[in-house]
Amino acid sequence: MINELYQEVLLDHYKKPRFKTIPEGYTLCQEGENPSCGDFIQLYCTISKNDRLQCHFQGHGCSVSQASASILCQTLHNKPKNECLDLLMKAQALIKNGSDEEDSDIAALSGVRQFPIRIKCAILPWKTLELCLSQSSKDSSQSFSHKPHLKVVIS
Amino acid sequence: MNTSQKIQPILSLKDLCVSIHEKQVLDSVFLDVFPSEIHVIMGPNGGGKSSLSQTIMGNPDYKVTKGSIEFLGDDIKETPTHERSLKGLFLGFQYPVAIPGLKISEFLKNLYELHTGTSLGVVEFRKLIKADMEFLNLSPSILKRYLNDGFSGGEMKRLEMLQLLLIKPKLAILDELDSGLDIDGQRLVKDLILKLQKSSHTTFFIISHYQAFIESLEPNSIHVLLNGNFPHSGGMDILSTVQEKGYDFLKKSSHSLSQDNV
Repeated sequence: MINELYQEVLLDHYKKPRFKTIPEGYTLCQEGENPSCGDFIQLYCTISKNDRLQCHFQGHGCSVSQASASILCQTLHNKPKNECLDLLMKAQALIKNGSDEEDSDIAALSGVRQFPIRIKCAILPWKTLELCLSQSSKDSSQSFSHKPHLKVVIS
Repeated sequence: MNTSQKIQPILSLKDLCVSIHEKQVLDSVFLDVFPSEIHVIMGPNGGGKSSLSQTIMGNPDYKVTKGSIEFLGDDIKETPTHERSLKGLFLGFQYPVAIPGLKISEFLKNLYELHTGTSLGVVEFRKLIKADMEFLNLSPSILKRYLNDGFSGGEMKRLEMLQLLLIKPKLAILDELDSGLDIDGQRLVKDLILKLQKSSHTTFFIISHYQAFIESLEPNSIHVLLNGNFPHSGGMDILSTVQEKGYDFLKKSSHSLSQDNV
């Protein structure tokens, strides 16, 4: 089931990416890169007053990385930040280890395990967001950072 | 009767003459179908039943030589098939076409998005159709197969019904959707028709040969298509006449009728 869904979900998000724009007034920005495949993404996060997260992205690279970014933005859209941190770790574990769950886009994405070298592509957006959010929690004043301080480089 | 005079017909055929490859198949057909009605078309093989449905749907092989086809008040004679479909016409094929290479999941999702103007994720869409597929007794594994490729007769017809459920058209023409189905399948078609008629006010134009099936639908009227024309339209009484005396009797009686008219 997952293998069959994998291709379909991936192509759907790659052809029609969700949240692929630079939003106005974002509060955090983080770049991520996977040089082994040539994937590049920029994540833009906005944390609203009630501590909910909105993610948008820009980027280029293979279909797996771009679809994964689109899935990330859609899955976490308007979720409380704490829940997002949770989901973030779950998603990464799911992509690496697979799951029996079959009714989510992330679960479908875990079909990427058939191609071990592409796991990095799928992980990239999630790692990028992880860094992005960890920086924001260090910086309790929620400084407005248009330019990324640090870049995630997956190698 | 009074109400039907006020309401506009959803489909109106006026003096419709149609030919295919220079051969005339429909000869001056008049018919008004009103919203939420169920009309049944019967008739001998080669009588023009399928030609009529193909013409309404806009198969380019069938040339309208005279008359008009009005759907929702507009003449759709020149409208291409895909636009007719978006307007709310649906044809359930007697022999559905197999298209190897076209994945059913993608086909259905595109179909749904085109007709509803929405955009859905793959997983969301699967959740959406799950109940309908269970209702039709279709296994989720068919979603990864190619459209009608290597399907059994029953599977093909069930897939046609799934499309019908997804689109919820304004007018559905079902060209012998019930034939080739077992008893359970036929009951399913009946349930589906009555369900859609109730929930979505879908109008049905049903071509069928089976008396029990037609009776169970309690149609508003039954038409017998003979030699490209409707000499006989009416209620259930026609059904019993056909059943007892066959189409030959009707052919003879319509012959004498037309002689009387002369």
